[in-house]
Amino acid sequence: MISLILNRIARVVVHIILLFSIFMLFKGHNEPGGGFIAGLMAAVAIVLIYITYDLKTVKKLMPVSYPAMIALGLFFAAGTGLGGVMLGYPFLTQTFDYFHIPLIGEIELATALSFDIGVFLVVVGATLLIISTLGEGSK
Amino acid sequence: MIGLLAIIIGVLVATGTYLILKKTAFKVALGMVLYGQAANVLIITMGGVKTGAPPILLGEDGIVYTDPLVQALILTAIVIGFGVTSFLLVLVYRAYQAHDSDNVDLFEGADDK
Amino acid sequence: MTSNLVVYPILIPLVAAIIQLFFAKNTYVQRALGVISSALVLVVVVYLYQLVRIEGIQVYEMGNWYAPFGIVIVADLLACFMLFLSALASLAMSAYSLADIDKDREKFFHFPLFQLLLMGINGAFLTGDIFNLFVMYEVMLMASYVLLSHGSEARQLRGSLHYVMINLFGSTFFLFGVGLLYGITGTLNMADIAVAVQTADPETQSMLTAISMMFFVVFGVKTALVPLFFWMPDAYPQPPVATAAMFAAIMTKVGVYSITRTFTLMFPGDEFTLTVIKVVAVSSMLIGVLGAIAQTNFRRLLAFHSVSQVGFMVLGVGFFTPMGLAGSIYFVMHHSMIKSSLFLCSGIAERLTGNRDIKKMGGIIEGHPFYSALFLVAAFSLAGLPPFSGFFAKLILLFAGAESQEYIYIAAILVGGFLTLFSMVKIWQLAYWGKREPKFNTVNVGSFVWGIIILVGMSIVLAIMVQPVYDMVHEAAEQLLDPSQYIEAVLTKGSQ
Repeated sequence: MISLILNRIARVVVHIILLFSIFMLFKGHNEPGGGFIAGLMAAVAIVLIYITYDLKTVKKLMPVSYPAMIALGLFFAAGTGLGGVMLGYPFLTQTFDYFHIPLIGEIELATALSFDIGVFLVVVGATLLIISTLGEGSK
Repeated sequence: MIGLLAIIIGVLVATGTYLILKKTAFKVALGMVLYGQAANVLIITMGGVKTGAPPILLGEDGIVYTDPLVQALILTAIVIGFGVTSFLLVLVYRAYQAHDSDNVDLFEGADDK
Repeated sequence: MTSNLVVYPILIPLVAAIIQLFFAKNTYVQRALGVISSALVLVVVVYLYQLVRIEGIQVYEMGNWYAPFGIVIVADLLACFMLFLSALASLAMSAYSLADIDKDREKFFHFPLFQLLLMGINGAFLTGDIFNLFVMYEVMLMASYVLLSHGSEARQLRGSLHYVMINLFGSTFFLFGVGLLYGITGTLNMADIAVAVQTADPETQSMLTAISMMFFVVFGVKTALVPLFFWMPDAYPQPPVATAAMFAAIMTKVGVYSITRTFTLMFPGDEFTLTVIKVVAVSSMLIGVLGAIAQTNFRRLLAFHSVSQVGFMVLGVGFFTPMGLAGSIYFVMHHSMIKSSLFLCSGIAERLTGNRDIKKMGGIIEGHPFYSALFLVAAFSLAGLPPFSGFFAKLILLFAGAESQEYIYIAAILVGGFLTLFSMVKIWQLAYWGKREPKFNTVNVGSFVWGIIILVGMSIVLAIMVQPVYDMVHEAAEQLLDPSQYIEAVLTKGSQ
């Protein structure tokens, strides 16, 4: 049975959590935040959906294979490190530059960001994999 | 402060040891979690407990900085602990399902025929 | 700036694992990539060894942060030997897995996990940072947990739980040790720790000894030394044979490597530590082999033998002479080839007879003489009969014992070797010799033996080339006993 209160609240809160997790992801380079914490947060939002509805809804909302998500995340993270190798620097060498983007203005973009995105994807994928494994078992 | 933290570590380890010696798989897993926490608290204590500035050099003298390394270490340890613990819980749950019991003594080994 | 070569043994498996994950459905690509990655690592390692011999210890700074602030990857001769073994074993296991792994496990990411395991192992051999060592251990262990337990039936769960829990306990202990060490020395770089330990004042010395013993316990858990070995005979009979063989061949050796590294570089042995190491080693040696004699389950028996054989290697470290360490390294090489080929043999025997109990096997030699001969060579080599590699491995250790006049340990080596021979003969008589059991499965043994041929062949090469190989490992041992080389290579780079 779906609780009405939880149902109504979840519909609102999930969006806020997801948005905040993305905020955390981009903020992470110079301030508290980062890929891992953002990934956990996004995962929490999805867990909320799972608690409110059921596993089917989660699968319907996110029709991706979780292992593929982990693979993509690892690809981003390792790719960041390998980029340095290809340019002749040691593995995992980071760099950054300033860019001007219309409407947003001057921002700093670091290669660490793509690493963070990778971590984000791995964490979300891994958490979902665990939940779906546990969830399927209990049915 | 250090003394207090030492006591906390002691309590965590003692509780963890007590739980690990139990026969219930889930309690053993909980004991492991407590052990991990104790290790984390220990590491942060080793970095020196003090109120310091963020560890970014600003060219001023006489500033006490906090040690960033221990925080990085703990973050790594927490991430790893998170992964291993969730895996362990899945395993305990599977064992519970398979045997309809949480008692380690009742689990079958690979060689019991 | 050194070339990126040093980091490739870690990167190649990682990249291979990622690509394999993308091809989740296509197992042909996964299999091919597994073999290619192992072969590539092998080539890189041989080249790296040449580089280390000519140019000295290779140091690689991750992310361009120099030691002791950044994480360094260090390749010295010992690391090269271990990497060579892991690459060789993984190549043989990949070859064996081609025929062995069932569809179900393939779907559960057996091959990517295997590559991640390889990455963790290689990382542990190469890293020059104690916390990074912990991380690499965890990468390796995470992969091994899943490899060991996935697809597990109810009756495998106890072994998996034991394995996960005791290793988690060990890892926590590792963290405690690292934390305390950081509190005292204020650094995590192994070379820097070595300097700090050398210059530590006498008051902290006892604390440092305690920490070093903590590390010994941690690595003892991973290596399965007495009295920390109880998880091993439970865990090894479960996973597919190739995985069990990989565990036996390399994962226990990671512990031996870490013990060697810890007690030559960071805490160069004082009298007390070395005595503890030697006593633990001898008790592993004897208790392990006595346990093996009592077993009739093929794989449990081999697992108990691992406990015993690890004792020999650690004993070599305990002698703390160039010859003792050389014997230890030679033993590691010999054992990782022989023990993994014995595990693969046990897998074929299981397939043939549909049974794990050697009492219920029998007469395998009838119809499979070549495969049985391979087993015999491996078994005699493990027992230390001349002219196989095990004989020379034990011989070097005996000479090392005689050199430092530790006659009790010599006696222990001889007794251990004799009992090993006894239990190997037991397997041979019960499983291979004797009357043929009526219901045999028909198995295409030819597709399995390739992995065994590689490994046994290498061990024979090891035995034939014993003098040149001994010179090589002796060189590595001398490098280990002179930690100033390592320290200089790591710490002077940053100041340039």
